[in-house]
Amino acid sequence: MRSFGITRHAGSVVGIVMLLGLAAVPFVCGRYTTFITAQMLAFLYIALALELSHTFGRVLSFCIGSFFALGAYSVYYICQKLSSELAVMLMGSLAVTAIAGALTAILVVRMKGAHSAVVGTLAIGAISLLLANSLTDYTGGEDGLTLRHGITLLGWTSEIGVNMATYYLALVPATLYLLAYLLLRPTPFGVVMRAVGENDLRSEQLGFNVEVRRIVIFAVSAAISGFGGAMYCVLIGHISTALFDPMVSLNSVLWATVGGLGSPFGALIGTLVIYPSIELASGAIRYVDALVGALLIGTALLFPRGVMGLIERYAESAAPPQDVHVLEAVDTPILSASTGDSK
Amino acid sequence: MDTMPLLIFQCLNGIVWGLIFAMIVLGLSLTFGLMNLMNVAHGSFYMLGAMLTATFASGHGMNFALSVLLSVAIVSALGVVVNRLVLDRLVGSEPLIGLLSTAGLLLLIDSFALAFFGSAAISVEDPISESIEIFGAFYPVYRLVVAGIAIAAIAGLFCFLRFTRQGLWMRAVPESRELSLIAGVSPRRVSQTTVILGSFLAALAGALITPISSAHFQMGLTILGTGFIVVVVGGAKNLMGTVVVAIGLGVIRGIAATFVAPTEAEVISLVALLPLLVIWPNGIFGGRNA
Repeated sequence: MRSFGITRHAGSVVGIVMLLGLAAVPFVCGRYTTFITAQMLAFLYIALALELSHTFGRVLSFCIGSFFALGAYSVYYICQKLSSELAVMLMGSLAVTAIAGALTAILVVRMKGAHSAVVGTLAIGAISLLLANSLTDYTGGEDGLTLRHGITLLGWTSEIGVNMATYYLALVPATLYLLAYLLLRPTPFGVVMRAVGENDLRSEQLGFNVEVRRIVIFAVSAAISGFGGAMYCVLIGHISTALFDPMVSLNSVLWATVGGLGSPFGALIGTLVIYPSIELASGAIRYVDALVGALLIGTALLFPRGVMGLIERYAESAAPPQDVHVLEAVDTPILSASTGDSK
Repeated sequence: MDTMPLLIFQCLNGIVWGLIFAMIVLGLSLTFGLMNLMNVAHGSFYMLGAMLTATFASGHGMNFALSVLLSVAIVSALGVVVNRLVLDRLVGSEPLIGLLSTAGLLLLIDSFALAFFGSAAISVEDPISESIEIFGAFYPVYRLVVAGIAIAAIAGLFCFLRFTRQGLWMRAVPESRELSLIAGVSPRRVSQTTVILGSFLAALAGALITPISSAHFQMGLTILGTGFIVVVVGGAKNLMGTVVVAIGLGVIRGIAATFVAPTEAEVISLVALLPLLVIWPNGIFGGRNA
């Protein structure tokens, strides 16, 4: 029984090992690798946010990149107009994106027709890109805006760019989120959230307010993506309307799918596998989007459960045989039977 | 220009754009309704139609009408290949798998277009340079010709679905794939016809728009969000609903463009459609099928 528990969490174990590796990067790698890894950590939040809204909110959000961009611009304007304290900048950015996410969710979550919610997020993504490109006085257009401002971190002088403080400021919240997921998953709260994600009709019959929970999930996922954008602005110091490009959301879909939708550790693994691979490939291949496209098709058709699915399948086949009833009890969804309103 | 002639000009522009857009989204609606597939790569057929026409007409100096015919034929043939390699495997799969695969296909096709045609926008000279006066506004004759071709193409599709055996099969298969198989109808053949029709209409729309708006390798991606929202607001499987919403969207955009910048007009037209999705989650005409 013990070994089966470990095999069930094999993907999470791989993810934790990867987190330890990420924590060691500034000490064992050069400046360029640390810079690329820090940038990747900022983008990791979009993949985590996408996974959250898909698994628990049942919305594959194609506007998740817009919240990333909004978070980045929020930090820029808070720094320029309100405060240069990093904690205030990040909290402000979280608040702005959470409110924007909640407003979007009120619209999207109510779209109950098949595919309607996905279409709604696609439309919102398209609108935000158009808006960003038409408000060039504020967004800087494709040339963008550069953050040249002295900042403080809890009163201590810090600076924009990749350094020890900003690197860990990008890594620690993601680590805490992943650990919180592991700890909360078996609790009554975790079980209810999974139930809402799996079967809205039965959850409603059991007395849970599905709509409100989904709005909150979507708002939280927007805030997570926004935090990534905020960290991107702090790490890179330059933002442009290219951040509103649908490709940002599409890339996060690729990372989360390759890793395996259904667990934030899948999003982590997918981002850590694909992001550096694409970075390396972009040095050798000119048309790297073709590679991203081929990967998306291959993943979707050949292993739709992603790396997490492969790891778990391998771990289960390596584990000693278990009692059939135990296996069935573990694999059975909390609320079986789909409602049919797949989004 | 006075407001009234400008308003008439923009309204006519809106109707023409709406008809062109209707051709594009009809293909989306067909694959969505008949194959239950959200084909994100559909915009790439539109882009290829435009890029090929622009390359033939501007790059090689070919006659415009011949360029249109040639590019539409090439894109329709590509539709067959894409269907065989990817789309056909997605019929009956989870919506997410279809969405991801076709998103990958979009990136793949757009990357090949970038490699082959380059990143610069290609413009095509207007094949008919005359304008005629309509209620005080001088309107280009070419755009009226495009509107006529679009109406003929849309009417042709409806006639094909209503009066031919293939059309009957296309309407029958989504009702029951199993019963259709028993009756000797091949769902694979129906899917093939659906993709060919969709790619034909999208390529024709792309080819005809080149003298109005220049061709660019990312132009398929830009119409994606609007395309899907029109399909869903129109009622997903309701082709007439899709056409009505596409033209309505064009008119709203045209009227808005009289008073604000074109990008802002596009935002206004999209924002106007979003509440409709909340009020009618299955679309305005969702209750009736084509």
